Amino acid sequence: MTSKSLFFKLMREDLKQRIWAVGLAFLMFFFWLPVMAAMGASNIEREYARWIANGAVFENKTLEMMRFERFAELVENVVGLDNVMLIFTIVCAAFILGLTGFTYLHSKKQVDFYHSIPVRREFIFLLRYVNGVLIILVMYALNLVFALGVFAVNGIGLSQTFGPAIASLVIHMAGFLLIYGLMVLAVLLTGNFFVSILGGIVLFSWVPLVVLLIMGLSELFFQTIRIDKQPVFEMLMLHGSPVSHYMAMIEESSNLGFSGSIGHCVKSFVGAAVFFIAGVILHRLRSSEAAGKAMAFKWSKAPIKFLLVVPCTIAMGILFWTVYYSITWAAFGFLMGLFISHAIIEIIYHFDFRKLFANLLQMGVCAALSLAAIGIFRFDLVGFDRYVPKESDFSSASVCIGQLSNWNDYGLPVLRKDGSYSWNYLNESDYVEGNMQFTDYALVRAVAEAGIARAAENKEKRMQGGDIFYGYYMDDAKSGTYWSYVDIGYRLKNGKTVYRGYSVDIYALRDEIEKIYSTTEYKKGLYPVMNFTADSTMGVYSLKAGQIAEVSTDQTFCAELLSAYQEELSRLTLSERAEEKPVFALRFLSKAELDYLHAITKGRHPNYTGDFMLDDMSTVNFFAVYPSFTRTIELLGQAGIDVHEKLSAEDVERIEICSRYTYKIGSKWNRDKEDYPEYDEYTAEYTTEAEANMVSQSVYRSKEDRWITILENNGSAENRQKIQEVLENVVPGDLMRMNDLCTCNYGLEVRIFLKSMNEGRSRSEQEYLEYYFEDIEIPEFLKAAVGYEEVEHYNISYGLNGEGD
Amino acid sequence: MIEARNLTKRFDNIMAVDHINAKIKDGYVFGLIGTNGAGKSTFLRMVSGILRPDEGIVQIDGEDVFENTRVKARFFYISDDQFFFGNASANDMMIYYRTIYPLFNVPRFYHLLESFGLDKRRKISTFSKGMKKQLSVILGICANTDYIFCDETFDGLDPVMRQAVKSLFASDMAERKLTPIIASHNLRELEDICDHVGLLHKGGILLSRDLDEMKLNIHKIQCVLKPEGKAEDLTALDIVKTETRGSLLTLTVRGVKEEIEAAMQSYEPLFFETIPLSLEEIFISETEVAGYDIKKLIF
Repeated sequence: MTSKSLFFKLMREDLKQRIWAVGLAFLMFFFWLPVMAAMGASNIEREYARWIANGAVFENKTLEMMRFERFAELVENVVGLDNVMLIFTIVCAAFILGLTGFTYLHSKKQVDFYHSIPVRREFIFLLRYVNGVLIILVMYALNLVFALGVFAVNGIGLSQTFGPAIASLVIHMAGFLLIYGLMVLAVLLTGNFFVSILGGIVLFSWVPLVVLLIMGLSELFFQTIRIDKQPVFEMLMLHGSPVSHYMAMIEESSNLGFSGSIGHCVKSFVGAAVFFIAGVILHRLRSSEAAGKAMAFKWSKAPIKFLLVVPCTIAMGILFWTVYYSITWAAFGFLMGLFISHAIIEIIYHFDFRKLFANLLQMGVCAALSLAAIGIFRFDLVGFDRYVPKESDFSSASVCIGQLSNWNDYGLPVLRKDGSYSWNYLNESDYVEGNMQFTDYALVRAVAEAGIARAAENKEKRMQGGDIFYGYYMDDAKSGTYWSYVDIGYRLKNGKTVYRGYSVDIYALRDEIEKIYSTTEYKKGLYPVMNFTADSTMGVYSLKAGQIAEVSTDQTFCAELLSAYQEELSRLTLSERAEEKPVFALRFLSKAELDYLHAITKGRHPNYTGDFMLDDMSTVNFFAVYPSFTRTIELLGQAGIDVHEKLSAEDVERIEICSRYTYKIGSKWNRDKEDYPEYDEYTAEYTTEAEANMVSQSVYRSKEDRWITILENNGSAENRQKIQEVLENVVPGDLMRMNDLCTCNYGLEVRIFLKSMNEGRSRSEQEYLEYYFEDIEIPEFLKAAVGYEEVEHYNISYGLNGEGD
Repeated sequence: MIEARNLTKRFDNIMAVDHINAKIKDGYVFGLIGTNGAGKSTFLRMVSGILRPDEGIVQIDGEDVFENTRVKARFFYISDDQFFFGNASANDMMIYYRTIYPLFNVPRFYHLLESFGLDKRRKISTFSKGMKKQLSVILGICANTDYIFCDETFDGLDPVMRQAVKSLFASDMAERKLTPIIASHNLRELEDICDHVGLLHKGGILLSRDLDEMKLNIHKIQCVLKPEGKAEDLTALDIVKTETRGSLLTLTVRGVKEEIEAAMQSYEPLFFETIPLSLEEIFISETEVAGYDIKKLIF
């Protein structure tokens, strides 16, 4: 009885029953494809006519080119992947068709009808499944043809539209099949429309939500976890639900083009095929009497309950525990989560409120499983925090020591398909993890073991609800400790990389860290400049106090300077860094960077004839020059640059000195009103004391609650002298931030307004250079002006030089 | 021939059909009677291949029914609440069934629709319950299958339509050896149509006999015994049930009419007469014997 012709006849009959879906799908696609294309085209043509009428002129582009560009954009926005309404339609259609296509299984009447006729059940499943897909595919394809027709009428041929349209169709259908397939499974597993919707919600969100819970637990209990370096979490978050996978596929295709998302497309089709086969099996196994019940398969009840109750119980227990770090509240949350989720599921399973206490034994099993899961995290039964690879497994490591390296951003230009550029920023940590190949196992292990010991301490502290501070802290400085994060990526011989993040006392580990820093492996992995070659260097540029300048574009000089810099950077020790403040910064510009800057400048100023404008260069890829880099400084001197040159009072229009923190006499200090409720009290004390000075010293209170002392270079010898005194004692902020090991007085920001920078500008538009006092000691006249009293201060470099203990 | 052997179906903890054995011969009307919840519908749904038996088998001419399209093409199942597509007309349903049942008799369908006064273009959702039942029967008859399974199909039909449907069955039985299997709790409806009756009770089959044979083997006797006579004295009779109203005894007795009458005469009653039992009375008697006290339900 079941034959090909019967199949198609029954498909036709089924479509008759779902004519509403056909109509709705047609309307949706009609509006989001041909109508949107026609409206967009009409808008472009109107704009084009206005350009012609107004005689508009676009640099380097004809009106026809501009029109074509607009249409190219419209093609992507309508038939391409930029049409968000298509995404919305596909997701909604997959849910609705998956749900309604098989809800006949929830009705005893319909089940009796369909299962009594001489047609195999698989046949019914197949034709309904195929019809659900065809409704979308045909309506989408049909309206896509209409949309392409609209573009063709407007002179945009298939050569421009066909590719994006087909790529979009394939990706959208891959997403549709995946979502549709899982929704069908939700319907097949349940016996009631409402429960099917709930089932759908569970199937679509369970993996991402459970991954979120595991991530939360990991962050809470695993001290060394680097959550951003757990690719399995990211993969599951992105691909653990058909909807998120679909979105990821679209995003990937938008970024990398269709070819970039083929892999995910194939995975989607494979996933859809798996869901389909699972659907056929479930449909075959599903008994007719399941209609109207909550769950179609008795065997699925307990596992599904466990999968829902256990995460709910854990989440509630942990949520309540983190409020007060109280075991009583944790128990309360745990029990509430357990009871409520279990009761809700039992009520749904039985459609009877009185069954909320049913299957108490299973509730007990859920409680045991939840406790076991929490125990694994709480007591680190998997040994996550204690992990250090064996030497026999160890290949190399990336070691990123926070306080040694947080000084700069790197990046490189990325050439897009269309010939335009984008800039790919790369922070130091990412660069280190991608490039460092540190092979000294003993040193890595020493750092890791110190980190593991600290992690164990921190964990217990955290379990008691204590705060953990990972950076520099005054009390730590007093006690001779200086905590810094250390991110290690263990590269194993089997090709895997395992990441861990530690907090270590770099005072205690100074010998090991000194050794690590002195190696070429470490420096090559930390400083990209160590890998630069003379051939790739097109020019050298300098940075000081935010001012970028060209040093030289002479290839020979650049090569010599690069070689000298690399050699001196390679010799630089940690002790030297702890003592020396950077005096200059250099950027060795590569060919790719030069092309990028050229393109940026050309884009902004098409008639510019030079290579590029310095304004277009941002402050990335600059490397610090230390006073001990004598050869580098000498070469710079040959290029006419005196790295030690100080600003002259003659060049300065005015100086503003702002207190970045509110100091209280007695060495306490506060940064932020919100963080410190006692702020107001301190401010009141401070204000009273400072008020006396305000009258005579032009001290103003700024809107940001900062105290500003303005020294105007108004011709007065006294002020010029004060300005000169300030200039002699300050260092550029951007250079200082390149070396956190050697600190300066960040308490007072010195804003230097140069005459040359602000000529003709109103006061509010003026730009300034950011400087800080080199030492804690500041000119006497300023101390009085800002009510400043030296706080008890610890320079971290003391510790590294053996004076901190 | 339809044969059920050891047929069993449970719904969770409820035994709906309990090891039923039955044979349904072709060319006769088989009435499936039983109390509410006796398992009639479940039995019929298993015979129709809708439900998979938990134990035992159900076969038509030696072939299993479940997921056997060749066998399923030989019957048409009309449920107690037949499904029709939303917004479908009688004509739409005919087109659907015509696709599935290749022998569907379309001219006869239109003829019968007209005879029953049903509009082929009118939406079925606007039909009354009786009209839907009529349409189900017409579709079933016109499907030209060997068997037609009717679950409470006569419920909701007016007497005229009931007779019309019975006539349809009768004519198709005569013409093409149609075998209707009719499940109902309305015994009066089956009495004049069924040839063979299967009596279900609490999932099990109490009896499965020809109706005539059944009627011949149980009788109701009304009698007045001598003043000293008691019902208990009538030991020669297989009394199923006794009712006393003054001196008038009403006995339900198993056995052949002639033998019962001869036995009664041997007790020299003051008066006795044999009254034929209705199917309903037979049903009540048999179920009472099986421990099903109908009075408890009524009172």
